[in-house]
Amino acid sequence: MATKKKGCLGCSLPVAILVGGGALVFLVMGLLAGPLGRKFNVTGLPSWMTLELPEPKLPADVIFHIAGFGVTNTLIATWVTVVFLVLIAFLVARKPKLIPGRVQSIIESLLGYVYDLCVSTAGEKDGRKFFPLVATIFLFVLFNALLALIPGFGTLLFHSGEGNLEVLRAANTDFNTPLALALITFFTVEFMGFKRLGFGYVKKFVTWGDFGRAVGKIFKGKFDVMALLSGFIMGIVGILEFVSEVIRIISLTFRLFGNMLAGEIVLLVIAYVVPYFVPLVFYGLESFFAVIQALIFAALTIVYISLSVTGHEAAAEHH
Amino acid sequence: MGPLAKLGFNGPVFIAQLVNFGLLLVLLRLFAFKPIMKMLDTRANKIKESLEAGDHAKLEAVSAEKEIAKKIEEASASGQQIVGQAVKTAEDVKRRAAVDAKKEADAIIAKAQVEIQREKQESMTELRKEVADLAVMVAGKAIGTTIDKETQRRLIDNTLKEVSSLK
Repeated sequence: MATKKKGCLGCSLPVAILVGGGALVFLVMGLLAGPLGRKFNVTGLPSWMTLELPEPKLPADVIFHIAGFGVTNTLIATWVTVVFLVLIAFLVARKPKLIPGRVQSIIESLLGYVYDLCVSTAGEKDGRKFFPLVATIFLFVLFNALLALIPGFGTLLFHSGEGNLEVLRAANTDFNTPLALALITFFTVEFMGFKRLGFGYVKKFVTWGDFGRAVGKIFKGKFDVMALLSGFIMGIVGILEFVSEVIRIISLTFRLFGNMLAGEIVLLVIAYVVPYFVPLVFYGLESFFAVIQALIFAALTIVYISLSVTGHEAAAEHH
Repeated sequence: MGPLAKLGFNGPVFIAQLVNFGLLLVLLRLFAFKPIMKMLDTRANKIKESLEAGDHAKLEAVSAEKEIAKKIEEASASGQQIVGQAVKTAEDVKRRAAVDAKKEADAIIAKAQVEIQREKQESMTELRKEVADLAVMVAGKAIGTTIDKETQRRLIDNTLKEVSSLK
């Protein structure tokens, strides 16, 4: 088994055996320390090797109060993320050099990726305009999730009357943060649509004009069933349009919230079931999901914005 | 507890997150996006400029090369022309020299012939004169009288005529 790793790890044979053997030892240790070992009454293990059954909870814990305002652990994590991002921005990006260094190159390629996404979706002008919002969402969601994967992030405990509380918890595992992001996206979309198209934007949702005209014709003695029916359907379509717009808040919120919370719970549970080695795989998965979720949220934001500012008629002509 | 509160909704925290995000947006825009976008634009412009300058230089090099090739061709052509002209001139000179030489030779020959002719003529005349004198003298002797000068003259002339008609 150990020699099989030689190829995939690209190490020399002794190193591969060492790594493989180490992994195997940790795996067995993990299995013994977990509930499986407990089932077979494996005793004599030191107490620090076993973990308590985690109790995932939805609402974030309040760590301390400032003038009656409960500061939750997710809020602290948000501040950590904000400080981290602003610090990097301040240290590296404030005075960018024409010939970039290593850190600047990484930041540039990251932002360049988001920028290309914006420009290719919303066009040169709008892409540039909305890039800051989209990039902020991307960076916040990404680094919030990635920082939460750093060892020690979830294990810093705060002793209080309610027991041990985690000081830091990824902000997007708290319902409030994804909701805030989704509402910011939603209101930006609606505001920009209204600002760009004026009352023409509202026409997208209020489409009873055809129906009204058909009803008007009845009073003139012309009873057109088809016009009445198609007008009615057009009206319903407007309502559907409105509903789909509002539903975006829910879909954006719960996609991010669900993924982040589930990721955290998976990590907790896997760490309980097999405390060693196996969680590593899930850490890799979670960092991948962090990128994916950040990208999805940012991409959907710019897509919604570009849809709302192009207008219904223009979009219809476009297709 | 309402359904939203069960999910963890918390009004103040929600508002705090809105504020936090807004703050992050403003700060990142100020410290990251603006300078980086500006720098990226500058870099893009610079790259574009350098590329254009490179293209320009390349074009210039090509035209310069063409110019040089043209100049070389011209020089070669003019060199050839000069050589051709020199050869022609040399040929000319040679031919003229030949012609001149021949002309001179002809002239010399002609002159020599004329001279010979003249000398011949002269000798003939001299001879005739001599013959005439001799004849007159002989005639005088034979007649035994001296002839006055005029008669002598006439006689000579007559004899000369006869001699010349004899030839």
